[in-house]
Amino acid sequence: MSDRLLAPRSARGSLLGSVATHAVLVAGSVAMIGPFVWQVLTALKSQPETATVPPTLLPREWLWSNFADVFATIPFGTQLVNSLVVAGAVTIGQLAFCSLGAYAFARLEFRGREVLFALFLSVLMVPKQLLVLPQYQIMSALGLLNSLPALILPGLFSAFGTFLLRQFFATIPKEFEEAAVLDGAGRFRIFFSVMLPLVKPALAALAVITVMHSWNDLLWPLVVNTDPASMPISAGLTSLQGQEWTNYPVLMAGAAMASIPMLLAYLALQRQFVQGIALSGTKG
Amino acid sequence: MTPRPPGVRRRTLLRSLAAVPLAAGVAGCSASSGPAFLPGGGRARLGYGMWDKDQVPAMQEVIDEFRREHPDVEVTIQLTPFTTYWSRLQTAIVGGGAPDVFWMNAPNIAMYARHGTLLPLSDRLRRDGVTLAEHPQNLVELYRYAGEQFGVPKDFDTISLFYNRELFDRARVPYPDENWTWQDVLDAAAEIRDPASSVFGFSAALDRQRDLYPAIFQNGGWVLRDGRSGFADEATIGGLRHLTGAIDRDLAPNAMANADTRSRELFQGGKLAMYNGLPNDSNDPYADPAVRARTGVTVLPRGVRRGTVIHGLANVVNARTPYPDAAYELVKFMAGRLAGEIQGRSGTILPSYAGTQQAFLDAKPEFRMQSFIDQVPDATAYPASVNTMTWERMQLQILGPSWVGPGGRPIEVSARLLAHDMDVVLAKEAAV
Amino acid sequence: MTQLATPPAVRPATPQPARRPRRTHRSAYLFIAPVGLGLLVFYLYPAVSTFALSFTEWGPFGGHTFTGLDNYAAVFQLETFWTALGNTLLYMVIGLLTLPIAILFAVLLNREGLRGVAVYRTLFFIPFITLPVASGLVWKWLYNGDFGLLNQVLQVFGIPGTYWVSNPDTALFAIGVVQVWSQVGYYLVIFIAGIKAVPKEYWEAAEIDGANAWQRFWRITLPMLSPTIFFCTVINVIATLQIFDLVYVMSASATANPAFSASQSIVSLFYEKAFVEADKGTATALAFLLMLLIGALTFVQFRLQRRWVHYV
Repeated sequence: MSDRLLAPRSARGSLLGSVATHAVLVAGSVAMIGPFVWQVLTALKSQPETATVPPTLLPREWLWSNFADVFATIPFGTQLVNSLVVAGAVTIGQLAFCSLGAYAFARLEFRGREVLFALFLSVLMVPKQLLVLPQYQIMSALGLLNSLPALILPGLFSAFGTFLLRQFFATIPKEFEEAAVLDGAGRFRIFFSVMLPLVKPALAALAVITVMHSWNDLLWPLVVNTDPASMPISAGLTSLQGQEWTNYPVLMAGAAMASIPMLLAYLALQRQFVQGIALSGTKG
Repeated sequence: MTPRPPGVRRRTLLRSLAAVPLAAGVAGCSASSGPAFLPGGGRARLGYGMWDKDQVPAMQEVIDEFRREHPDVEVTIQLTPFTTYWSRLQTAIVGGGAPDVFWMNAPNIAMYARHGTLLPLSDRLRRDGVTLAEHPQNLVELYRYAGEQFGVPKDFDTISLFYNRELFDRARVPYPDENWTWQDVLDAAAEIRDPASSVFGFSAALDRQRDLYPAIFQNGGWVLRDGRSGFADEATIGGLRHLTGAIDRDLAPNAMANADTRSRELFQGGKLAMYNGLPNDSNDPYADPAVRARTGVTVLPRGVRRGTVIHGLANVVNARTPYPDAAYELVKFMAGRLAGEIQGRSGTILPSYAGTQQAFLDAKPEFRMQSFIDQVPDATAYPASVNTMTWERMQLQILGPSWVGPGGRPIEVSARLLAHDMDVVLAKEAAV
Repeated sequence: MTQLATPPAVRPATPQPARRPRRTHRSAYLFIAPVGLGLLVFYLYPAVSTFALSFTEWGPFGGHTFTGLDNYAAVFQLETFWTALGNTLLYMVIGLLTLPIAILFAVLLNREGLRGVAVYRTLFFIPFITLPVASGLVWKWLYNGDFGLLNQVLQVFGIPGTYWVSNPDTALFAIGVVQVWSQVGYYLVIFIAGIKAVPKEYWEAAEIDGANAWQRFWRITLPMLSPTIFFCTVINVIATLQIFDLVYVMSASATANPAFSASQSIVSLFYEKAFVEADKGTATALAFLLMLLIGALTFVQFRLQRRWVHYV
């Protein structure tokens, strides 16, 4: 599917348009990944060199050892696994719980539906920094400080996920459901076998978004887990920032390596993701 | 799970019930018979909170030595990055999970002590005859609140002058030494200043510990006394004016330049000839051979008098710790000679116990680290009150407009405004 | 199917399509229970209890005394609050610029026969998956007034640079740019899909009618995209009003940053009050005022959508 919005009539104009388009896109790409390239270059320099002014472009010495140093300075491997486990658990949880709730809001009639939905939406507007304090006390009361469940539990439930999936369920023609009802299927069966497969793109979209947010989440892991072995990578890397100075090269190396799983996840899911997000947007 | 016959269970229950009075009895006489921190044996588990990654190996070694004397105490280090150390600590103290022993600094000691979150140590120290006389006395006093000792000093730092020999050579100015005064600094800076290559003579940053307080004290000024702010005092203002005047005359970088590129980075890059630094600021120059070769360290110049600010961390005990005796033994050990020697040897921190600093000095022979110790007699303790964080923030906000260079707000105006607002905060503290 | 032998009880009592009663599906409550209970315990209850506590004075280590609206009054008296409010609204406006930029690139990437679409799309998405800590610090270096790459490039063109992040006049915009930079990829993907969803026939018909490229874009693409744009503006506004991570990384400085107040957002003021100054009473009041602001602006957007959003 393509559009010919900017496709002028003449062949020569078409070539010009093509070149112009590519020029703009390349310029945009450079702006987008330039800083990332700088990040990797910084990762390859020595600590004093990164603090030197004026900054050097290419490293004087290519210290690939900085990448190895990441594993020596923080339990990077463990933290990476933590991030993956938390992201995975949170995603599966949200897909399961939010889809159940979303289906009910979209398709089932029940008392208090509007009120409850409004209540759900109001959660979206509470700044998450505010919730850190009371959530910490809940975890403490449950004896879950410094553990992976502490990171996972609040993330299993999302008003955003419910909202997103509800939009999708609302777009599915009612006939699918009615046919299943006529066949004598119970509600859960309808949900699981009929409706859920129809919103696969949305599920993929929610998965990518959830993984991304879980990966980047910083304040909550910092507050609730102090043991480096139970920190996710986002929090673990901040321990490289000291009171007076920052271990720039190792920090940048660690952050660069931490981006790789995200990139892979994005690449794997991008087709589903693109399709999914599209439908959610157009239905407003 | 193997099924147990009911008879066995009852016996086990009875046995454990019988143990209770025995345990209580043991607990009652534990104080005199040497530390048995838990009745009936068993380990005390302590968490030790700190923020400096570089000091972890040293602290771990101290802990290992401690455990040699007290094998029944387990200590786990809890490292929290400084940027979140205090917020995490507060949340943990309220919600549970705070470490049993942790690092404390001057700005925060009064607040934590006042609200009863710290274990008072005076009685125990007195009982064991520990006077803390081997530590700098103004530091010991810093960690005393309402007559009660809450923290035992661990390390200390003062401020010294770092200088770049190459830049001095290039401008043909003799190196700074212990006879230097403010005028010498200004003269040298004027010679060295080279706008074309962005080279500055010295740094007059709005950096409380490195520049502000030393300048104030060197001019005979004061920051906090008897619950009042010293910023309206003429001597204090004079000290500040030394700094803003330098910026106005383009001898030092202004606030914006400093916020973008910190003085220590400028120094590391060879763009700054003189720079006030902490002992730890020597790590980066030392690590780079080229920078090491051209760096010198000496005492701060004299204004009206010699002056610098002394600060140091202390170990404190969580008031709610389930193992107060074990925790106390740990901080007592950490205030002792062996702990000081271990810290000094690591080269990462200057221990406060007298006579243990030699190892620290030996770690960087090319630098005259002795300068830090020489200035202790002339040092003034880091000013602090209950709400230090609040009025320290004000310093940055209110004095800032005077640090932007010519055309900025006159320093007298800013200083008096700061004094006024600071007095309001201090008055509120006293009223509580 | 004869009805003589088959017991009719096999079929559940289905309502006729014509009748649409407010029938309660009791199973609905079971569906909502997991996510509902979770949100209740971890989000709603904490939010409500903190709201109640915003009417008390918070001791730094626990303990609450009822003080009514004192905290809220204190917020309004804070000069830094009004500055932060203005800043946050400005961040919101700048953040909205992400959308036209994303639309532009989405349009370009939808050109017929364009090679390397997937590559471009991935490259544009990379800023979004980079950790804020890393990208904030990298940009801070690029912006450095004396030695940063940006000023060095500007020097080549003879444009004088400044201390972008430390100059009170420019700091907010500098950070805003990074915010836009990191979000473009995310919205780009949304808009690409949105454009793809427009039936080709519309453009073909318009071209036959003699419409040029700009008219086709303005008259067809944009209106068809408007529901998507609406969705994006709503979430964009909610997100930028809460901007914190970037501001925290780029402008919190150990020595005084002259631009600190000029670039402070409401949430970073909240963080200062709650965790640095231990003034949790003022902080919680501030947070709820922000919530009100977000709610109000979102409501306004929903109201306005009738004017410009074109649903098929």
